[in-house]
Amino acid sequence: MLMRTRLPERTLILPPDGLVRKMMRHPSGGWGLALVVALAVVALFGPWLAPHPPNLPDYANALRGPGPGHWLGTDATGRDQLSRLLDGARRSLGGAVLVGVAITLIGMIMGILAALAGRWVDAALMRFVDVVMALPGLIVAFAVIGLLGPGYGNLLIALIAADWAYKARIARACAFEAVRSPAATVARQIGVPEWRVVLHHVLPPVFWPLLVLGTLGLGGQIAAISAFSFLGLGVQVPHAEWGAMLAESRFMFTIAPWLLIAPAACIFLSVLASNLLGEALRDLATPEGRS
Amino acid sequence: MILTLSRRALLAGAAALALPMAVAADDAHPPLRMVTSFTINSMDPWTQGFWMQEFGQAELLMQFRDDGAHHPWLLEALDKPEPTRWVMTLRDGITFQNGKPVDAQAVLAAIEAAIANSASARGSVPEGAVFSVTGPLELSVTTPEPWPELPGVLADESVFLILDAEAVAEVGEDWAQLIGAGIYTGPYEVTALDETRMVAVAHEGYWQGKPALPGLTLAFVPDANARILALQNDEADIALYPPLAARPAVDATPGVHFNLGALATGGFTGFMNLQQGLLADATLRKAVLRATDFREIAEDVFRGGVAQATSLYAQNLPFALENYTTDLSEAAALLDEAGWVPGPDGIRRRDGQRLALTLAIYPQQPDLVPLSTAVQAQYARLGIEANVVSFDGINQALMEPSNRWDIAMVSSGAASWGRVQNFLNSYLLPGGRRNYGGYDNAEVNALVPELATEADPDRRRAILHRVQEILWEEDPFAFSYNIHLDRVIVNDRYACYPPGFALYHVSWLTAPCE
Repeated sequence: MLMRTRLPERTLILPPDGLVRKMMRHPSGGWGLALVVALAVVALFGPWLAPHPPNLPDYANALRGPGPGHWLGTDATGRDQLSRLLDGARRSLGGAVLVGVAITLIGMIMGILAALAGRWVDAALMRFVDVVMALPGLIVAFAVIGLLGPGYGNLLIALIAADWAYKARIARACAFEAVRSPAATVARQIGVPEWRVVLHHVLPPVFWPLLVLGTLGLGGQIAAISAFSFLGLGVQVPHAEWGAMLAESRFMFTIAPWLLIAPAACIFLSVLASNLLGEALRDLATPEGRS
Repeated sequence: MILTLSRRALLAGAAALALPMAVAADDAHPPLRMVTSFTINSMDPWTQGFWMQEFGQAELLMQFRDDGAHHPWLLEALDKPEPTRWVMTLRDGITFQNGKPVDAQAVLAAIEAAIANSASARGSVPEGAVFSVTGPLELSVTTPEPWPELPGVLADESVFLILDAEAVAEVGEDWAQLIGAGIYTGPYEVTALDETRMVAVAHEGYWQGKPALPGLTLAFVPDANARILALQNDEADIALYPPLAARPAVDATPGVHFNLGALATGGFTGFMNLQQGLLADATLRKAVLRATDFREIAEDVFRGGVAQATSLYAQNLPFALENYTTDLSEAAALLDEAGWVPGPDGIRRRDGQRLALTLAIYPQQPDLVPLSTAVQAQYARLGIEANVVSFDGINQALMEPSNRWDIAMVSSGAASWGRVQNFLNSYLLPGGRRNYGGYDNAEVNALVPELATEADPDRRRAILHRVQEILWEEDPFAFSYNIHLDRVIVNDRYACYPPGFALYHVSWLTAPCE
């Protein structure tokens, strides 16, 4: 009973008190958070904010420069660039978040399982992780797409397959220490069920480092989705995605630079936002404060 | 080491080293610099030799021209004294680049070597055909049945290249030894070939006269943007295979020109999948054809960079039946008749099933992106949802039953080099190697083999018209979205260069405009 009161709620996977406030005070965290919120709004409500149907060709208005009616111009088939950017945001950003969440979850489960089970299970899982980590992520992603075929869903699976092992390795290192920590040992000795030990003493020290890493890696995922879509391996026509929009317009740079500048700027801002936020989280998660 | 080199290899090496001097020595024009998307992998004449015909190294007995007819080239005449016998008379005085005469014996050796080594040649010759020398410059070919496609076969770059078969046999499979060996008859002789480029120099003894250029370099640049940039940076004179999407940018750039040429013999062709999905229903296939706006594709989507499809075949071919029409109301009536009624979102439904089709494209043809986008919008007007899937390696992907698709968009030639039989056999007949959608129409199955041995031009035309009628009116399967126009990007020096018809990119007369 005494132990029950000594297990503070803050050890659960909940935002530490005043995280948002601390983030806003952080030199880069405020900007990062503001950008992330703005991009999240665009990604969530983009299709409803779009002034024109994003996929409908309008050949009479092809390659119009930015101006009234088409604030970011039109592409070679007359589609409104702003509408396509808004529609494409959920694929570029949503996909990156989905990949980030998936690899964090997989990494966490694998890492904690290895640390808890120990012995041959730990050895087998970590050797498997070693094998996956020995393969360059890019090669793994290409191989998975080659196997499953091009497409947005398959691209997300490929990116997950390419990136989960590193997270599992980190998670196992954190979990290994947490499982054998004095607090966890004492909790077991007084009869706290194992699932509560994991929930209160293992999960938090694993989650926060992975969250920081995941946030920092979000920019890479956005860039990867854009790059694979640029190569035609991700989002398929006519759907908008920022990297695919760059690919579709790559011949137009000399006569319609807005077609490349706008999606490139969106990719840049997204990567910047995730990096700023990730850095702030890292600083706030470090016990000594900013490092 | 030197002692083990053959005299031919030494000569080839010397020729390669001498190239810069040879080029510099000719002050009339600098060598032509071309960039192309495809790589010539080796000097293997049986799998890579067709490239040599395109860039002025090798030649053929006949030539297919933009009037839709076959004309003698290395031949002086091609006659048919009997229904089952053709007589080929060679021009006098032609030599291979190595100086050996091109006589009937040499041509027979080239034909026999091709049949022995090339699957394409073997597949083009009817069973029982016998080639024989009947004079110093005369050969004849006799067949059990008439062989009306022989002129087209002799003009097809993948069948009978005229080469020094004896010299080819000597090198075994060490194809590099053929560099500088002068095995072909064309105006330019290969002096260097690696994974990045091919170099050729003028063959001074060319049978039509001295070539206009001292030589040419052909760089292999797969990326279309890089090819265009090569021209803009004056690293190339002519860029082949430009995507039509690049045309507005090229037109707006000083110093480079997007040149369009004659009607090609093919275009983007649609193939419907009859084996899986909704298009097993012929009524739906007919509706899809009538919902396709061929004018919009040619004029709006590609801005006149392709010709409007009015038939399966290009309009300049004598057997083209111009039966294509766009008729949305007829298409809608057909769908109504088949029980497909508009749903709340505008997409038609039948028994709860959405009318959704999958269009298959492939990344090697960037122009399929705007085409598929346009086609999606066109079908949407009729209440048909169309999704696009991109397959790398389209030919294999479409033949793989586990891949789901309804209409494949493929760049193909229905009458390449004026030959219709190849397309019909491969794409329309059951068991054809590219019958992607499992087409099996009893009447077509009877007409196509009949065409193979039918020599009467009127009957041939009637057969081809009937096949086109079936494909539009009764049992649709293959159809043209557009007919390609030959196209290249050139710099100011070559502003007057006409894109090569039927892939003849370089002739002995190719030269800068001035």
